[in-house]
Amino acid sequence: MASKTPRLPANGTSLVACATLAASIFLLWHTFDPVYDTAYVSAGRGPVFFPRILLIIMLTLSAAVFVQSAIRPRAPEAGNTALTRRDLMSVLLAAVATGLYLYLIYVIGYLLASIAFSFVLPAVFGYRRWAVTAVFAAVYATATWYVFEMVFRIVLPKSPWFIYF
Amino acid sequence: MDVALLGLEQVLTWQTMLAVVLGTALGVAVGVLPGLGSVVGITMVLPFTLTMGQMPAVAVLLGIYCGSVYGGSITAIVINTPGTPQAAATALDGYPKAARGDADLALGWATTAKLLGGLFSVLVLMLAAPQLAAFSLNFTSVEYFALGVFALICIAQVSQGSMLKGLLSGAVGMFVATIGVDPVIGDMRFTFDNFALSAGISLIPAIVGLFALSEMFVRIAERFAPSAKVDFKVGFKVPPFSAWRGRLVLLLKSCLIGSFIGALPGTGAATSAFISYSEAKRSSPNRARIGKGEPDGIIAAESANNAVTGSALVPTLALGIPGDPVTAVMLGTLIVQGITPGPRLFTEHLDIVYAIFFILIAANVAMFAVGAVGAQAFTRVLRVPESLLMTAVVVIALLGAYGVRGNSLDLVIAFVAGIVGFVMRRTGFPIAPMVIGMVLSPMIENALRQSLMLTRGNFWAFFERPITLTLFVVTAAILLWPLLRWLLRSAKTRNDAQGPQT
Repeated sequence: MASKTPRLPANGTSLVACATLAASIFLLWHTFDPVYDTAYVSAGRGPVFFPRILLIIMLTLSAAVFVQSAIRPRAPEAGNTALTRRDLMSVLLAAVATGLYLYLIYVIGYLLASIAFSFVLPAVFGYRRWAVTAVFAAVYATATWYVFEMVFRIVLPKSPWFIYF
Repeated sequence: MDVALLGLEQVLTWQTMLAVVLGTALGVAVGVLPGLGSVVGITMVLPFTLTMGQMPAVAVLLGIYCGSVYGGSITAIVINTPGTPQAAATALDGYPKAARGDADLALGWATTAKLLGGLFSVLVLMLAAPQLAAFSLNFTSVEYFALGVFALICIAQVSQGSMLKGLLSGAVGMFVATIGVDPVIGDMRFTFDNFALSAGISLIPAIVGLFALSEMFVRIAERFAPSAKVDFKVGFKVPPFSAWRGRLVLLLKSCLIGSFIGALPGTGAATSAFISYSEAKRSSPNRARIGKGEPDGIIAAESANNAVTGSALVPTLALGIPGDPVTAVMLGTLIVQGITPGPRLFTEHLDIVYAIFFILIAANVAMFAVGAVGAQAFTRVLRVPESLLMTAVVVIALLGAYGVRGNSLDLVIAFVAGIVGFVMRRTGFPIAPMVIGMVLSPMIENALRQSLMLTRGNFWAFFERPITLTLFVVTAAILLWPLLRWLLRSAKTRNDAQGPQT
C-alpha cells in the first residue's frame, strides 16, 4: 500500500528559500520608499544603509540555497523523517492552541488562560489521563501565577471578572 | 587583591549560594531530559532572574549552564541516551561501563573529570579574559566590525547543515535585529507604521520561540518519548586517586582541547568532547579498551565538554561577543541585570568580573555535590510524562518572554519565532546563527557606520589596519574553504579517473 505521507510539490528547503527570497525582494523594494529619504541626506548611509546590505546578502543566499536544493537530489533534511498527516495536524493543533492561549491571556487573564492551556496542550500531545491533567493544569498555572504576581510582583494580565486575577 | 575580595564578598551571601545550588540542580534536571538543553533551561529561569539581585541572577544562569551540561551525561551513562549533544561522546564509554554493572563508578569518573575540566576552564577564563579585554582596548570600531563579521561567519560555517543555510540564517537574524529605531539617526525602520514594532524585536522572546516553542512543535510532530527504562539503581562512587595515575596527562590534554575549542565562536562542548575523545582514542595507553567502557574515554569526553563552559565566556565577557546561543542568552540577561560585558566591564567593574569567576567555581563544586547526592533522583525526571513536562516548559518560557518588557508584542514574537524555528529545524536550517546574528547585528552596524565616518566613506581603509586585515583574511579563508575543498576533490577524482587509463 502506498505511503500516506503528504508530499509537498517541492522540498522544504526550496520553499523556505523561496519565502526568504520573496521577503528580501519586497523589503529591498521597501527601502526605496520616500520615508527613508534621509538616506540621501546622509550620503547614502542613512537608516536603510546597513539593512540594504543585509537584504542583498539575503537575496543572494536565498537564490543560492534555492539553486542548490533544486539541482541536488532530494536528501533527507537534517536527518528528519517525513511527517505523517496526523503529525502535521497535531502541530497545527498545538500552534492554534498556543496562538489562542496568547490571545486569551489578554482577554480572560493569565491565570484562567494558563489553566485552559495547561489542560489542552497535554491532550494535543496525546495524554489522556484527564484527572491528572486537570490537577496539573490547576496547580501549575496557579503556582506560576502566585509566584510571579504575588511574590515577584510582576504584573500579569488580569481577567475582566475578578479583582486579583 | 582587594577587588578579588570584593568580588568574593558579593558571592558569599546566602542568596547567591542558594541560587548556585538551585540553578545547578535545575540545570541537571533539564540536562537529563533529551532535547532540553542549556538554552531552554536558561529561558525557563529568565522570569525569575528579573526580580533577583545581580549576583543571584548570574549565579542561577551559570548554575544552569554547568548543571545542564552535566545532566546530559547522567542519562548518556545510565540509559545510553545523551540528554544533550555535549554528552554524546560520553555514552560511547560510559554506557558500556554502566552495562557491566559499574554505573556508579562511571558516574564517578564522569563527575570528577567534569569538575576538574570545569575548574581548569575557570582558570583559563581568569587568565585569558582580562588579557583579551586589555588587548581589545586598542580596538576601534573598524576592528569590532571585522570581529563581529568573523564571529558570525565562524558560527554559520560550523553550524549543522550546509554553510549556505547557516549564512542565510545568520543574515536573517541580523536583518530582524535592524527592525525598529535606527541606532545612529533615530529614524524608524521596517515598522510599517506599527507603533509596537518601534521598540524592535527583542532577543529573549525570539529565543523562547526559536528554542522552547519549536522544541514543543518538534516533539508533537515526532511524538518523541524517552522509552528507556530507568528502574535499576544508580549510585555514585568516586574513583580512587591511584586510578588517576597515568591518566593525568590525558586529563590535562582534554582540558586544553576543551578550553581552546570553547573560546572559538560557534564550536562548543559537543565538538570539543568528540575531538578530545578522538585524541584519547589515538594516543591513550589504554586506547585498545576505548569504546568498551574504558575510563579514559569518559575522562576525555567529560573534562573537555565542561572545560568549554569557562572558556566560552572569555569572548562573551571580554568583548561582548557570544560564541553560541547559550552565551547569547546569558549576554542578554546580563545586560537586563545592568552588567554590560565588554572591555569596560574589566576596567570599571572588576569586582563583578571576579564575582563571576567565583560563581563559576562554586557552580562546578555544586555540580559535583548535586551529582554525588542526587544522580539517582535526577533520572526519575524521565518518568514525568513528556506532555506535562513540555507544557510546563512552554508556559514558564512564555512567561519569561512576557516578563522582560511586559509587552504583548513579545508574546507574538515568541509565537512567530516558534513556528519559524520549527520550520527551520524540519528543513535543516541551523538556529544558532540566527540568534547570534540578532545579537551581533547592532554591534556590527554601529561599528560599520562609525568606521565609515572615521575613514570618510573609504572602505579600503579598513584593510590598512593589521588586526582587521588578519580577521578579514581568516574570514575570507573560512568562506572560501568549502569551495577550495570541492575543487581539490574534483581534481583528485579527475586524476584518479585518468590514472588507470594512462
